[in-house]
Amino acid sequence: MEETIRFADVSFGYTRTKVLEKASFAIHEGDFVSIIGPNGGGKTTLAKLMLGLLVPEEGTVAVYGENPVKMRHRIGYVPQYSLFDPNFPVSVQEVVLMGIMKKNKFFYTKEERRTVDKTIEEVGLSSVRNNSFSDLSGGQRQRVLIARALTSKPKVLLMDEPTASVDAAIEKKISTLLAQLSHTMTIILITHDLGFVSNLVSKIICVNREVNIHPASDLTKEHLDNLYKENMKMVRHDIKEPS
Amino acid sequence: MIDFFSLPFIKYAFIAGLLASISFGVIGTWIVIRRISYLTGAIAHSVLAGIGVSLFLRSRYNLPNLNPLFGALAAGILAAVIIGIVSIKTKEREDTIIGAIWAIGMSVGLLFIAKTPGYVDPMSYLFGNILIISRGDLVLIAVLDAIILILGLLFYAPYQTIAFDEEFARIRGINTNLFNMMLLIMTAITVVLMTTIIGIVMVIALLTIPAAIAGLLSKKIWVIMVLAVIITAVFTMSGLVVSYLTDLPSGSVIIVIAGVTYLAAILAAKLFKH
Repeated sequence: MEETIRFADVSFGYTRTKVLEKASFAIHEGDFVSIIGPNGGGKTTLAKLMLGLLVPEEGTVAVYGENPVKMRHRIGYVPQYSLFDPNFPVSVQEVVLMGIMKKNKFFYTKEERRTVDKTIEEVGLSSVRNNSFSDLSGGQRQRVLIARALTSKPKVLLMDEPTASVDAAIEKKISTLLAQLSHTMTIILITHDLGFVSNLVSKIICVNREVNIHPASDLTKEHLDNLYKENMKMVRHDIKEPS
Repeated sequence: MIDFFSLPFIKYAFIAGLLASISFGVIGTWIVIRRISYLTGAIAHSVLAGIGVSLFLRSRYNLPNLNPLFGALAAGILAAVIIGIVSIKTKEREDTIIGAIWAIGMSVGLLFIAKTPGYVDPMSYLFGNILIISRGDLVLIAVLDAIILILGLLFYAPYQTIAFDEEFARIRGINTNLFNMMLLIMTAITVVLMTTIIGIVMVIALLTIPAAIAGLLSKKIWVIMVLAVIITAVFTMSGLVVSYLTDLPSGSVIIVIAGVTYLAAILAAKLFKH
């Protein structure tokens, strides 16, 4: 399996206190990785280091063996939709077109618009293609941002809190979509929600200043107690109460 | 009305106003969407430094061809570059530094005007005076207007991408710092276009109000731009007519018309929603 992302002894801090300390791990092609950990524990910092938006103070980050800035076009990034200006004047198609924007590009061709429409269809939003982004529901906006990330045909999909403030039905839709995508690409999810897509996840990265990587099957209650520094109750969503 | 246009300065003011409306609609839309009115205010006021220096040099060294608008342009672009660097480099105290540039720019201008031999009324530049528009100004305005329009059309898609999600634009390899800097420079050029009609103090209102009204009417950026151009032109033309008929200062009349329309539009939008 080809290595997609490698962190080697990476430390980072915004002020004097370290957000990440000596983080070392590798993600391979085809992995489905969940990044979990408490708020402020360094999850988003980890993502920004992968994207080359932040530069480590110590250690190195490599994406496909190269500097992340050089290779970040291979990563489709899906930020939290709740961070967007809800009144921004833009249509669904226009947002997805932004996914193929690049340096020295000023116009979109007809061919590119067709490709983008296909991606919009893949995420199930054809019917609202010309609607304004601001008129969509939370779950639809989330899928628009996924389409924007997918339209450049990335090798890795990196999503920040895809299930934050969406209801169970939408969560189901997103998880079905991710299950499909996981056949063809590496998926990295930053999440609070340990139950979300738990049956798809192959590796779990626990981040709370220190970073540990576990195969999903090995994750135990001790790991979580350690990570969140408090007693956690694990909830298995896949086990139903006997009726 | 025939009598009205027989006065050359009125004709010049109309032409200047119509030309400038194009840049105002295009750049004003980005200013409103990107919420950088405050940076625009600082650039507009700093322009006075350039006007002051050119008036001083013109009078002191007898350079009758030195158009103060050239000085305004130079100072505006310099202020845009400094503000651009400040907003890239400093995350803290950005507003304090921008506020300082705002005031220092004005002060430098007023100091040079004070030392300019003969009497110069800074009011003309602060609040506009259509009597000072020359034929040369019109040529300069037309050229700058064309530059803004071409750049505005060419960079539409990258600016849309950056305005929606700057971080994502960077990941896609766009040099967002460079584009942000260019937007500030284009803002500086646009500000200069209307200096003579409404002056540098009130120019910010005419840059933002038409785009804000247009934003209530449409959810597409290019439609907002076209509407903002039309609205700016209507405000400017009607303001000039009213100011001529009532013998009131043109800049203030234009801004009052714009402001009242904006308030009415907000109220109407609120009523319409409920």
